[in-house]
Amino acid sequence: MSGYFFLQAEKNDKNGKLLDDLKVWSEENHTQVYVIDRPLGDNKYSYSHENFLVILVPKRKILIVDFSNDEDSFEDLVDDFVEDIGSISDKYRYKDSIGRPRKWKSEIVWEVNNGEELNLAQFEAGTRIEDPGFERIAELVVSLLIGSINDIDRVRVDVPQNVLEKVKRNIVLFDADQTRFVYKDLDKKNVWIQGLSGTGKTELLLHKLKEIYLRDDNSKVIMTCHNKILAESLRRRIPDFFNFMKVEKQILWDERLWCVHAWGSSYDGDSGAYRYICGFYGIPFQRYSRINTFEKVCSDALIAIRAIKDRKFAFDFMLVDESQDFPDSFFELCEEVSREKVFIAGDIFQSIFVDTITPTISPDFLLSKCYRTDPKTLMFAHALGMGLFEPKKLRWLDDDEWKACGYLVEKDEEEGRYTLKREPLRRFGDFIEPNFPSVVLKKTEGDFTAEAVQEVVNTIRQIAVDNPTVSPDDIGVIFLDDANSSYAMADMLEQVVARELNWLVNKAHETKRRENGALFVSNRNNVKGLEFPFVICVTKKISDFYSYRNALYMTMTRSFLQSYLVLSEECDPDVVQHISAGLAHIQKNGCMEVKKPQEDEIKDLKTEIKYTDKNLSFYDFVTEIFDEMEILPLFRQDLMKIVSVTTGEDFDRDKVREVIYFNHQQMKKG
Amino acid sequence: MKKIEFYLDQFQLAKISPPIRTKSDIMLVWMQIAKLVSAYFPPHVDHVAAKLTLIIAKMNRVFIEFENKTYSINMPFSVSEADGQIVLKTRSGIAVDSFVSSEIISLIQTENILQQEEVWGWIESFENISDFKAEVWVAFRDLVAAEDAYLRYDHDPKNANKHLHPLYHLDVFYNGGATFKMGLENAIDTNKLADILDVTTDCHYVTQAT
Repeated sequence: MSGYFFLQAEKNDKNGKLLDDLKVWSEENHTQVYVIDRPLGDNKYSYSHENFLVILVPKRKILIVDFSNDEDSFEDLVDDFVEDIGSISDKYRYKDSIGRPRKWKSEIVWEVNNGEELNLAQFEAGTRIEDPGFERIAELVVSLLIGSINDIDRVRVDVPQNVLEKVKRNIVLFDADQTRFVYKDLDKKNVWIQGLSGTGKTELLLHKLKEIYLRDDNSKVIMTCHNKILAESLRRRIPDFFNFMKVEKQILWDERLWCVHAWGSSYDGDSGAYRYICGFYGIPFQRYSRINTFEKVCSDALIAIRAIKDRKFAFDFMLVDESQDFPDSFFELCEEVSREKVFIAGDIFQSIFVDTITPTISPDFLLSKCYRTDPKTLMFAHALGMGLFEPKKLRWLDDDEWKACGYLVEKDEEEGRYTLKREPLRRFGDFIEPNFPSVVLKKTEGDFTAEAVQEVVNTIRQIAVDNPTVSPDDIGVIFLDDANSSYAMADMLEQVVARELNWLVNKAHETKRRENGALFVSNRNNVKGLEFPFVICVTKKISDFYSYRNALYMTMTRSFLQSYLVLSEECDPDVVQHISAGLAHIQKNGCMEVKKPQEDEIKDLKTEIKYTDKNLSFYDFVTEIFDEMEILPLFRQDLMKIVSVTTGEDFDRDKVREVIYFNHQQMKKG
Repeated sequence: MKKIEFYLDQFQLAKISPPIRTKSDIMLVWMQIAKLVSAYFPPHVDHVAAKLTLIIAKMNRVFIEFENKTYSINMPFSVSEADGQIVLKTRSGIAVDSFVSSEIISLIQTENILQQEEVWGWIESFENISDFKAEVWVAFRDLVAAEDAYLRYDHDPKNANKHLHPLYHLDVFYNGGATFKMGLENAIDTNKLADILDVTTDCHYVTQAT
């Protein structure tokens, strides 16, 4: 299947040649092509005319091409189709901006009578639009026809003038993979969709939710994810999304639609997916404890439910986000309690230190194109996270895994040299100059805390100079170091930003949300799901802990336009030099050149990663080590504090054992 | 007696001078003061809008002086200095660093923990903050149990009304049912106010208005 070519029309002898050519053309030009025979996203449109295609390519004319040789009937079809575009544009309030069809029809619609004779050169010439204003209208019309609706107040119809405006007012279009997920039904119960962060999974789940919620008035649907805060933000998004998509049906919360985290609380039957299931089947609800993991409670529930005779289904559909946070038993449970389908979306690379990236269950839809982040930024972030530029790497992927993460791999086996690059994305190619620095290193000297705070303020000033329309909430500042020093820097930054820039600061580690008009400041625990035109990451020293590296990777990928990394030059000059050189190479050549580690090194890396379980909390991680070392409960509370402070809460098993051992000896003596 | 002074600009002042009506407001002010004194950025002299004075003696109080007002609350912390950094510790010895203060602000403002009706909800609030740590709970408990001892010196010509609302007065307590005014014959400064509150110096006497 192609990531650029989407076909929702009958292929036949007459149109086959053109379709094949267009498919190849879309791949070669890295350009989306959608071929449809009716507007997607609304089932009410249908046409009596047969054997025609509508070919949509962003920023090109809408090509309506006939293969029937019935000219009169085709004329009527074109009129009807254009009229329907008008009515969809009215529905989504585009009409006030793009105007009535008679204003744009002749500029952006191209009718071709004899499709069999159309070749690619004619297609390219005939669909070209010279006027940037009509180009934008055409792109907006494409978005309407594929149901990838944009907020017209955000994107607006006038042509954006500077880079920041272009990014903020970018028209989002589903790509071919995304369109297939939303509109094509697969003949299986659990449907898996996977992709890197920034590939639009959650948005797609919302579109799917809309599709299934509207399909049947009596269906029961639940959307869930593991994390409670994420579930709450998702729940807040649904009504906005439905309003925006002009869904006329009311949302019947806790009657037909639930959006809650996976576990729930005993006192509220609608507070979690598992909680609801327990209530529905009348089986015991278990709270979390050291032995009651989610894996176990789901397995217990499965056994209990399977024992019930003549049972009903708790839901018709389930939609699960962030599937990487769940044990398999949860998906089995979902399958058991849903009548129709379970849609499961997840990120194969949420942690760059998961053991197996090629998943055990191969996904039905794999989204490998990341639309949020500039490919160069993504490369650099991966390299930083995995230590690819440093003498000792922390992570190496197999060739298949590189591919699954969207890399094109070229290698020189003898030398062990790898050239890794990502396909350029049109979205960025459109408005970002090839030499635009999407990643900038800012090195500080002297007292890091004070200097870094000042550097952040200087960077913000520079961003504001380069982008006069920037607003405080376009920028995210993320402190990556351990809890207290990050929080202290955030406190200082707040004072300086208010004083020097007269901007409000939203410390999101306190507020747990985004606030309009305020500079977003947070720590590494609150990065998931965020995106900004500009991100400034602050860290004193690049440490080797997996959790830290993963956070560094995640944070750097949160920008649409530019990511800045503020770090101390003196703390580890060698590492700083290596990554500076690596970054310069990416910026100059658009690819990474890295040396593959030796086989035994790779084996060691893998073992180490397997051993470190990222799903444990630090508390549980240390408690497990206490158990292994048979530390008496009497000592544990004090030891926990010492370990937490000394190791900065990083999951380094050897270091934690060492700290426990040493202090435990001292305590026993004392 | 330890007396530490901090000059503040209008932005720093805004963080520690909200209208005070509930214990939550006081707890938030405590946390903002902890942040200010442990991560202090002095303003340029032209931008000074207020002064914060920390007095640590037998009496532990903070005085915040701005416009024509000074308000003062108890500081239920021990105060020490290490490497030029001021460290506040609660009664149980938990250091209120930037991390602990942010977590407590989050509990009060984001989780609305003091408005929780369900006991499980209370527990979940602690689970929701970024990393559940025992010390946050202990510090929080210490603050809930601490006395705030709020009072405010006011010079308010606009609303002055003889002995019902004397030109110079102290507002004691913040709760509608508990608050009262004590008139003063003359204007006083923060030193004088501190002296009134200091148990180691001579007492002041209350007399009936005549």
